[in-house]
Amino acid sequence: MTYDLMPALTPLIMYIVVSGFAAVFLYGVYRRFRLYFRGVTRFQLDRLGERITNAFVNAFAQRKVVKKPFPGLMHLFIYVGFVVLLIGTTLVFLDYDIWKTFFHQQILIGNFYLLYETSLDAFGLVAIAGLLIAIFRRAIIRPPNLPGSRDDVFIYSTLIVILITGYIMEGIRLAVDNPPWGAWSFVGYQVSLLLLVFSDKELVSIYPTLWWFHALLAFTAFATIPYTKLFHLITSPFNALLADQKPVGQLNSPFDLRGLLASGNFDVKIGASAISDFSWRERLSFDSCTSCGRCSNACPATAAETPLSPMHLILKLRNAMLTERSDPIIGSVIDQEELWACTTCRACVQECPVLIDHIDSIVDMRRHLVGDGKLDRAKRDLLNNLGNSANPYGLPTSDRLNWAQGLDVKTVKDQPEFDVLYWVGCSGSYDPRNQSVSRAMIKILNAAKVRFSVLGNEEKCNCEVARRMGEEGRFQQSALDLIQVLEKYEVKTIITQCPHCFNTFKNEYPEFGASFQVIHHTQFIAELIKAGRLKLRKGSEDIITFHDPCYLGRYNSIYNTPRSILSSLGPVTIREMHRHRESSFCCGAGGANFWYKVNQKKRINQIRFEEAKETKSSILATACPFCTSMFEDAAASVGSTTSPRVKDIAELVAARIDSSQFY
Amino acid sequence: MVKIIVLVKQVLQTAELKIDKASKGIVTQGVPRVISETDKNAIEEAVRIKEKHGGKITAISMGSPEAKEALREALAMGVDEAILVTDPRFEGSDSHAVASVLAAAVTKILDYDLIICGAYSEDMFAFQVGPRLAELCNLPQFTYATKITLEGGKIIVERDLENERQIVEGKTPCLVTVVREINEPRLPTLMAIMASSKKPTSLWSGDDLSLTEEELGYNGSLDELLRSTVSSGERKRNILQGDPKDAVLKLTKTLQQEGVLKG
Repeated sequence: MTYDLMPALTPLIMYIVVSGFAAVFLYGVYRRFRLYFRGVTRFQLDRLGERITNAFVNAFAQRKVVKKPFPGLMHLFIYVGFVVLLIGTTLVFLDYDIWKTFFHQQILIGNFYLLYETSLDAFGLVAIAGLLIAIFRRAIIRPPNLPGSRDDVFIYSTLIVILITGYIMEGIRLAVDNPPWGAWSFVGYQVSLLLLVFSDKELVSIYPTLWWFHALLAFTAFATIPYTKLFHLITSPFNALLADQKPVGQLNSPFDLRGLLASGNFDVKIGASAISDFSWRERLSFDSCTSCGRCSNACPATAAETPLSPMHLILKLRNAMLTERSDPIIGSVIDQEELWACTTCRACVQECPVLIDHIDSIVDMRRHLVGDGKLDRAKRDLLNNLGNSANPYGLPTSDRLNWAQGLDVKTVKDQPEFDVLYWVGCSGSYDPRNQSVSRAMIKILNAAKVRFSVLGNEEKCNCEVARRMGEEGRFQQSALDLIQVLEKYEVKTIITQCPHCFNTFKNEYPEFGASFQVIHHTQFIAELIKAGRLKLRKGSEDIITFHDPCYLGRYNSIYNTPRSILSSLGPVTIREMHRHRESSFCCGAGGANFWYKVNQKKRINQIRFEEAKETKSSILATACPFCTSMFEDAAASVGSTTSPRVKDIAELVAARIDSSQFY
Repeated sequence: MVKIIVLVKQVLQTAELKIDKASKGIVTQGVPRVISETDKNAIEEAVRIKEKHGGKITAISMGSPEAKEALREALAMGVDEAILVTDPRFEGSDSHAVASVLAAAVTKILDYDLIICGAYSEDMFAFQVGPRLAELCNLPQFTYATKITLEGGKIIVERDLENERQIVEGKTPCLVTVVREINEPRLPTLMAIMASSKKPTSLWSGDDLSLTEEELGYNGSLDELLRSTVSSGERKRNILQGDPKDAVLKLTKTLQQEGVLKG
C-alpha cells in the first residue's frame, strides 16, 4: 500500500490502527488454538522432513485442491491472486518502511518496478475471476453438499470490494501523477482513463477517504480470518504438518495390549464420546474444514442416503468444539447411526484437500459405542462369533477347510516346508460364493507349481472387522495370537485373496511384531503370469469392467496390477466405470457394514452395480470377496439378463488355465 | 439398594458341537465354552435393575474350573462379585443335585432380595434348576419373565406363557427365571473382561457349603442319564432354479405335497 497522495502522518496513524486489528486477529487465533489443547493431547512431530513436505505439497502447493478441475481452478485463482498481492504489499512495506527509512534506498525501481506493477494488476484480476467463479458456483450452479453461509457473502463481497477499490486508487494516482510508466499498470491505467472526466482536485480530495476505506476493509478481512472459514488458511498447513505419518491403511492404536498385559492394568479410556476425548490433532482437523463438500460428494453412505455425511459430521464436531460442549456428544450431536453407516472406504479422506481423517474419528467414536456394550443383535453376534468361533459367521472352526475337499491342498502340519502360506480368509473358507474363488486359487497355485500350505483349522479371523467396528482389544488379542501361530510355522510370505486381510496383515500387524511379507493374490497371479509360470488359453473376446476394491486401491494403491492380469487374458477390452482407481465407489461392505443392517434409502451395492452395467461389459471383475458377495447380491436383485457376471480375477484366470499344464 | 444373585451356567457352544463318527457320542474336547444365552439375559436384567435402583450383584456359577471365564464375562457386564462353586464330586449332577448345591450357596450368602436366572440352559433345556432352587429355598418364584419391575418391596413380573401373557405381583425376596425376549444383553469388550479380573471372585467347594456326600453328584441326583444318541435330520437340499415366480409356485406346490402347507 503506497502512501502517495496521503498526508505525512498517515503511516504513523496506520500502524496504530493496524495494531488494533492485529490484536483482534491474534485473539481469534488464540481462542481457537486454546480449544485444541484441552483434554487429552497426543502431539507428535517425528519425521519432521516428511511433515514439512506434506504441509508444503498439500497446503502451499494445493495438491488435492486442484484435483477437481472447476472448483480447483476457482480456489487456485483466489489463492494465487491473493498470495501475489500479499507479496506485493509486503514488498511495498519493505521498500518504504524498512529500506527507505533505515537505508535510504529503494528496491521497487527500474524494470523490476514495471514488472511488479504489471504482475500485481494481473493477479488482482486473477483473484477477481476466482471470486466470481466462487459466487457463480454458490448462487447459480449450487452443487450438492455446498452449504451457503453468511461467511461466504461476507468474504466474497469484502475481497471483491478491496480489489476494486485498489484499482480505483491506482487509477487516481496515475491520473493525477500521470507518470510515463503508467501503462504498465494496465488495469489501473484503464481506470485512470475513465477518471479523466474528474478534475485532479476532485480526485485528490476523494482519495484519502477511499484510501482509508480500502485499508480498513483489508485489515477487517485480515482480522476476521480466525472468525470465518478463512481460518483454514492457518489451520490447514498446521493440519498437514501434524498429520499422522503412518501407512494409510493403519488405524490409530488407542493402547498397546502387550503393555497392558504386562502391567495388569486395563483401566484405560478407550474411544471418544466427548470433544475432549479426541486427540488435539483431530480437533485441529475439525477446525480445518472449509465445508467444500468434496467428502460428502464422494461418500457412498451419503449417496445411499444413510444418516452419514462426512462433511456434516465434521462440522457438527467442530461446532460442538467451538461452543465448548463438555458433555457426551454421541446421542445428542452425533447419532450412532451416522457412525455405523461408514464403510471406511476412505473416499472422504482421499478427497479432503485439508487432510482431515474422518475415519480415525469415526472409529474412535465407534470404540466408545462398543465399550458401552449396547449394540444391536447383529453387531453383538458378529463380535460374539469372532470371540467364540474365530470367524464372523459363527461357523465351526473344524469346518474351515471343508471347501478344499477333493483338492490338492496341504496344511502347514502336512507340509511344514513351504514357500508361501495361502491365507484363505473367513469368506474364502465359509462363504459358498467365495469358496469358488479359493478353489480357483488352488488351481492357479498348483498349475504354477507353487509350494504352498494353508493353516487349516489353525486359521483364525485376523479381526480386521473387529478393529473397524471399534473392538480394539479383540483385534489386538487376535493379532498377538495369530502372529504366534504364523511364527510357529515360520511363515515368510502370505498370499491373501481378501484386500481387508491383506491391508491388516501388511499395514497393521507390523505394529504388533509381524515381519512376514504380504502379497495380494492379484500381485501374486500377475507375477506368475509375467514369469511365464501360467499358460493361459486365449479365450473369446470379452468386455470387462474392473471394480477397484477400496482396501486394494485407495488403501494400498494397487491399480495397475489387476488390470494387467485382465489384459493378459487375451482379446479383452477393459471398459472403466466412470468412477475408478482413486475415485472408485465402495461396494458397501467395508467397515463391518457387510454384517449388519444400515439405515439407508438406497443400497450402495446397487448404485455401484448400475455403474458397472452402464459400461455394457459382460464381466464385472473384482478382487475382494466382499465386493463379490455384494455385487452378486445386487445382480440377484436386479435380475436382468443384460447384467455383467460377477467374477473374482482368480476365477477368470483359473478358467483360462491350459489343462495340459497339469500333466 | 437391591441385592441380586444371578445364576450363570457355562455351556458348550452348540454350533461347534461335533459327533464322533465311531462312538456316535458328542465330542466336547476343544469346543469353546460360553455363557448360556438366557443367563446372559439374567445378568443384563440384574445390571439394569442395579443401574436403576442401585445395589449389588453377586453371580454364582456351578461348574468346572473353566467356568471362571464365564464369571469374568459376567463381571465385565456389571456384576460386582463372583462365586464359582466347583468340586470334582459334582460330576453327574442332575437338575435336582445342581439346585441343592446352589441352594446351599444361596443360603450361605443369606442376604439377598432377588435371584435371577435363565429359564433354561442351552445345553439341557430342562427348565428345572430355577423352580427347584426356589422350592428348596422356600422362595416365591416367577418363571418365564419378559419384564421385571420393582416398586418398594413389591415386584411385578410379566410372564410369557406362549398363548397367554400374565402380569403377576409379589413380594421380595423371590426368584425370577427370564427368557430371551426380556432384553438385549450387552456385550463386554475384551478389555472390560480383562479389567474384570480386579473384581472379587471366590471359589467354593462342596465342603465350603457343608454338603454331605449323599447330596453331591450321582448320589444327590434323582435321575441318571443312561445314554445320549444322535438324531440326524438329513435335509433334502432341493434347489428350485429359474424365474422367481415359477420357483415360488414350485415351492408352494412341493410344500403342499409334503403336507407342510394346507390347501
